[in-house]
Amino acid sequence: MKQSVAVYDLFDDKKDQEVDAVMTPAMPLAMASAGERVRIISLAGGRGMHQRLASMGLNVSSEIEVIKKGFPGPFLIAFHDTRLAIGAGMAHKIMVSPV
Amino acid sequence: MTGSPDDIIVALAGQPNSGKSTIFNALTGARQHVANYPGITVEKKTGTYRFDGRKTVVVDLPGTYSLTSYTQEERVSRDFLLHEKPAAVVDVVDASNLERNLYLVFQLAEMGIPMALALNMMDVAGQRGLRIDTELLSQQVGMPVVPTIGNRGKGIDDLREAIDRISKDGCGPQTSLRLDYGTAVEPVLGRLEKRLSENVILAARYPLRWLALKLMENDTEAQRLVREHAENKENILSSVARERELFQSEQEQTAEQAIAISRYQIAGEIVERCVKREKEEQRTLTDRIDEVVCNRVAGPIFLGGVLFLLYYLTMKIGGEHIAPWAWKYWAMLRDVIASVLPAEGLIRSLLLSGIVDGVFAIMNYLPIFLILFLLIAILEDSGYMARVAFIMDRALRAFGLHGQSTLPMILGGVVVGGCAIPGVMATRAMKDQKARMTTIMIVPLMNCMAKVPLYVLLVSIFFKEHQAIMLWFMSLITLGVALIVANVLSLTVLKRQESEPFILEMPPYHLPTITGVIRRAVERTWLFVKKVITIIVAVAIVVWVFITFPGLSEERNAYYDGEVNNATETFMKNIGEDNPYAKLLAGSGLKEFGGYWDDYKKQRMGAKSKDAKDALKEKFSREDLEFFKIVNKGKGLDGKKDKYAKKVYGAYKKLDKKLKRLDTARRKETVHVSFAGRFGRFLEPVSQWAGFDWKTNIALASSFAAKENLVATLGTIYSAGEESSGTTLATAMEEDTAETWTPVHALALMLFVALFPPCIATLIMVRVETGSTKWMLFAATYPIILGFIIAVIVFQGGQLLSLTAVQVMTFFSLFIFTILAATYFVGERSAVKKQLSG
Repeated sequence: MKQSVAVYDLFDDKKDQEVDAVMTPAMPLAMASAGERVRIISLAGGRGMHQRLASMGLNVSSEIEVIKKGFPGPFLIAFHDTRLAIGAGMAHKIMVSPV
Repeated sequence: MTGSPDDIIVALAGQPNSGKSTIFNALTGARQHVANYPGITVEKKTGTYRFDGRKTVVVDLPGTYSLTSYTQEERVSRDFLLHEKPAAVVDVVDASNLERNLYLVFQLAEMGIPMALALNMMDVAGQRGLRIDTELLSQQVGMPVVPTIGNRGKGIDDLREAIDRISKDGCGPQTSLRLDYGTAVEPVLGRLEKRLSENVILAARYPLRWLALKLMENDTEAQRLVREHAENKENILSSVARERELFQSEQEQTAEQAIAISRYQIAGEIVERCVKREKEEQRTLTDRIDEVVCNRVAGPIFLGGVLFLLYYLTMKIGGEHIAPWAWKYWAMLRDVIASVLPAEGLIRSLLLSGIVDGVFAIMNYLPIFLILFLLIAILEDSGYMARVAFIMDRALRAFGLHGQSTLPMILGGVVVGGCAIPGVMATRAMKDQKARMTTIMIVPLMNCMAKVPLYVLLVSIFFKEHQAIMLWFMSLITLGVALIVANVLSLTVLKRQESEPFILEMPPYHLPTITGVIRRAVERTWLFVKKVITIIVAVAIVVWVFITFPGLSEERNAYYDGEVNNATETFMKNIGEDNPYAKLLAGSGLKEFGGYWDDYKKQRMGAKSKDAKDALKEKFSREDLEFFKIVNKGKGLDGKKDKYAKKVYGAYKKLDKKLKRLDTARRKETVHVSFAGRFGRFLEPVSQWAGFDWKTNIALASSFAAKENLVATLGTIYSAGEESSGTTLATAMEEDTAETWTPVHALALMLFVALFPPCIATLIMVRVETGSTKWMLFAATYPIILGFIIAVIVFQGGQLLSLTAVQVMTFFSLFIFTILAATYFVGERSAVKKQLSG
């Protein structure tokens, strides 16, 4: 499991931070505020998670809206006509930038 | 399933919340069959219909977002399509959510099976201002597209027609959908496909482009297929690995990401061409409802209200009105069965007390379950169940559970009155394996309907002034203990189970359809009935053996037989030799009369009105006029008195009482000397630490079969006699225990029962759902140890400090909730930490 994370997590954490500093104003989804529209820059998690998010319609470059912030509880996000609840942990690992 | 060679099999696929089940129901009507896929817990639903004289078998695949081999449902769907080779596959697509649904369409199309789209929920799409050009869409995806509204049965005929057409045409030009994955992926796919085509077996069995794609996606199932069927498997797999590596270093993304992105791009393009949006994307009614229902403050309050209503309707309406009404019919049915069984002996005892009574004990709860399942189907179909998981997730997660643990816990009886069997079954919907296992382990700790009678019995004897509050305490404490146990288990023995972040779709709210709800509830109830019957028949025999054998010694049997003879002789003497009825009642006549007497008494009790009583008399007098005169206290139908008959009546009444007393004593003694009884006494030295004497031990041991037995066994032991209704048992126990039992005894027993191991039926369900005997044994043993420790603490603590039971209960609750709070914070911190470090 650990290994596959390393392979599939294409934005390695350390590399990611360096890139962020120079380029896009990326932040974890967890930091977006309610009502904000953001675009996904990278997805996190292992291979299974990736595919699952993709099959539910969440992919890099998807535009989503934060309906309800977690803490406590999962985040509620919307894209097209889909509403997804996403655990706070996941929300920390999905990197987004405001649209 | 396959009858004539003309029959065809059609697979029905679709993403969750696409209304697939409404399409399935509309297609097949009532001709449905539910089973499980072999070895796993995914439901397999099949149904049939006829079109143009041809029988079509529809297999409802589980709802999945995609066809990877990620979840069990996805694997099942994929295996079915790959190996059963249906004549056609219909993908039910949510028209209001086309883009995402196309993702599955593409994956299905790649499997090369003739395919049609059911563009469902056209009405919802219309309300949202979406206009879909179905002609163009059909061209774009290369397959027939049929607009449908499943819950109103619209478009179903067209769909049947389309299925008929594509299944006849085969893989003709109909499914010409071939996604272009772009300049980076396509050459690789081409190379792989070529290499794969060298294998005759692979090429014959599987669509090679699909296989090549799956291999590039690093799909383990695809790799397995290659390993199984290809001669040059190492060669293929290593070249796949090379290609993947090369791809990643050149494109700076993994192949599966590139593939997924292409799919979405193409889906987006198709939607852009085919769908016109006439209204701006806006906040829907669903969003407005969610603002309240998922609100931090209002949400839990609303949820509390919904749960209260759920309990009120099931326990009040179902439990107090509908269930007693149904019990009458169950009792009648039981009598019918009893009357056809062999009259006496071991076989009757086994069939009746073992199997029939065991099954009926649970069947008694059936009306309550039906109502509960109906209400839950409404909650599910309306879309609220997903919100429940959403609201509860945070709180439950701190204990190693999951938002979706809520439903199983409700079914198990969080407050009072559930059943662990449907609770354990309901964990199927959970994807998070670790949380699922934890939930399965704690659901039996909830207060199932069979534990409640014992609570009520003990509370009514020992806590007369505090009945309501004690029951309330019990449910709070069991919930508290269950949460602590969940936390401990998930941090220890279940630590290595796979966990998963929380992702759940919140479907738009729907008004559930009546037929849909009823169908689902009936289906679940039926599944439950089948399970219960098969399980109970199996285990009832074992338990019956334990409480029946080795049986009374010959000496004791002779003693009882002698007593019976004495009583009969006394009876004969009492009625006098010159009594004309004496001849009638001699020998086997007495037995015959006994049956007649019992029948009359029983039916007399049931007859309320005067008319009914008269009709009854008429009936019985016709059956046997002489007997009737006796049971009617010497009066014939015409009202003429017969003093001899009256005398017999008085004497028989005494005899009857005596015989029944002897019978109870004999049964009681049989239990005492049975294996269960020996076991109870064997355990007494240990169990007395918790205040349980051997009688209680026997009752506890017998309740292992089904908790209902607890009160029933106490009934036999405390010799409440034939009519062992609740009140008489309460009195009998009160008298019997007045000297020795304190309320603390009762409290310890109640707590032990609350945590006592699940009944065997539940354990077998645990075995089925976890697929592991080891976990079943664990589920059976840990509650005994835990329950015993708690019972000992409560009992000894209460005795040492000479506290009243209410004081003990208060202290104990405080103790539990302190631990609960502590585990919550520990659990929450570790959960947050884990999520962040991931």
